[in-house]
Amino acid sequence: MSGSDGRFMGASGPGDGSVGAAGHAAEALSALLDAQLAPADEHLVRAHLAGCPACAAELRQVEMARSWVRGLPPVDPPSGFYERLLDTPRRRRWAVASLAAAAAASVAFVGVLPAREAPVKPAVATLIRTHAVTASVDGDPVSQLATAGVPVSFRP
Amino acid sequence: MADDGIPTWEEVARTHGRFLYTVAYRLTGNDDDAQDLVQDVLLRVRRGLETYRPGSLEGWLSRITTNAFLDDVRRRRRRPLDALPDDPDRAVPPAVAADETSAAESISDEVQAALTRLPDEYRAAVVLCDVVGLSYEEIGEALGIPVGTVRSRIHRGRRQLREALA
Repeated sequence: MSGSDGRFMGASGPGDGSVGAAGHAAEALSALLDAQLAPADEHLVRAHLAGCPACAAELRQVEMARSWVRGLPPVDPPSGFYERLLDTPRRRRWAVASLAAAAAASVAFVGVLPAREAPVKPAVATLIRTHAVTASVDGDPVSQLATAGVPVSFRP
Repeated sequence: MADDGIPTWEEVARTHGRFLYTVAYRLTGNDDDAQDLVQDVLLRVRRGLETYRPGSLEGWLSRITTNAFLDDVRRRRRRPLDALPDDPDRAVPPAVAADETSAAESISDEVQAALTRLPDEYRAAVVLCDVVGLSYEEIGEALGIPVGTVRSRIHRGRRQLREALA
């Protein structure tokens, strides 16, 4: 990353003409800010700046824009972004496995579903009648009361 | 590192993931395109398509990233590169309306928005200079353009940024 340390900056400048045809420094101003002018060119541009308010103003403008971009913070990728990229083959195997498991589960579920909705056999009424007939009167006080037609009460 | 000194894409992702993503985000201006761009870069690294010069891994990565970005831009663009307007006073695309920018709370968001509205070639030069920190000569090599063109694109890019954020 950049910043004021300038560790990526080259030492030498381009060395071509720096003061434009109209006599203004123009595009050499950014190169001046970036220390990308050859010493002779830098001297020319600075001399021009000293007597040209328009170029001095433009220098301040581009210097501001430069500092804004240089002040932009690093951007973090979304969480897990690189892990997803790097783990693609393993994740694919995992995804296939879990997809198969999900498919098996849904088949099982579909298989169970009609059974749940099917009529219960034997019917509940039949079971009750069977219970009433076979229940031991001695061992089951509730059945005893039910067969006698007495309202059931659980109060002591 | 592989035997030939070229970093593997896993190494690039682990050691320079944040740097790579930052450059991609500053060029594209949004997460979706930045993610696509980073994937493209890692793919190029994995295929060994890019010549690696030992010394500046970040310089190498940012060159690949910028070129992948510009390749994509040019594919999408129907007109050729030389249609890029060279008029320094070329009108800046209209800024987003005030009620839309109210959502962009931070200065960074506003700077990024202005950066994203720059012509792509200007943005590439500005990002390589002010985000990555390359010299004009390195930028010229990375983009395959003369140093004078680098200088002009950076300066015009900055002027447009300043006008957009006035």
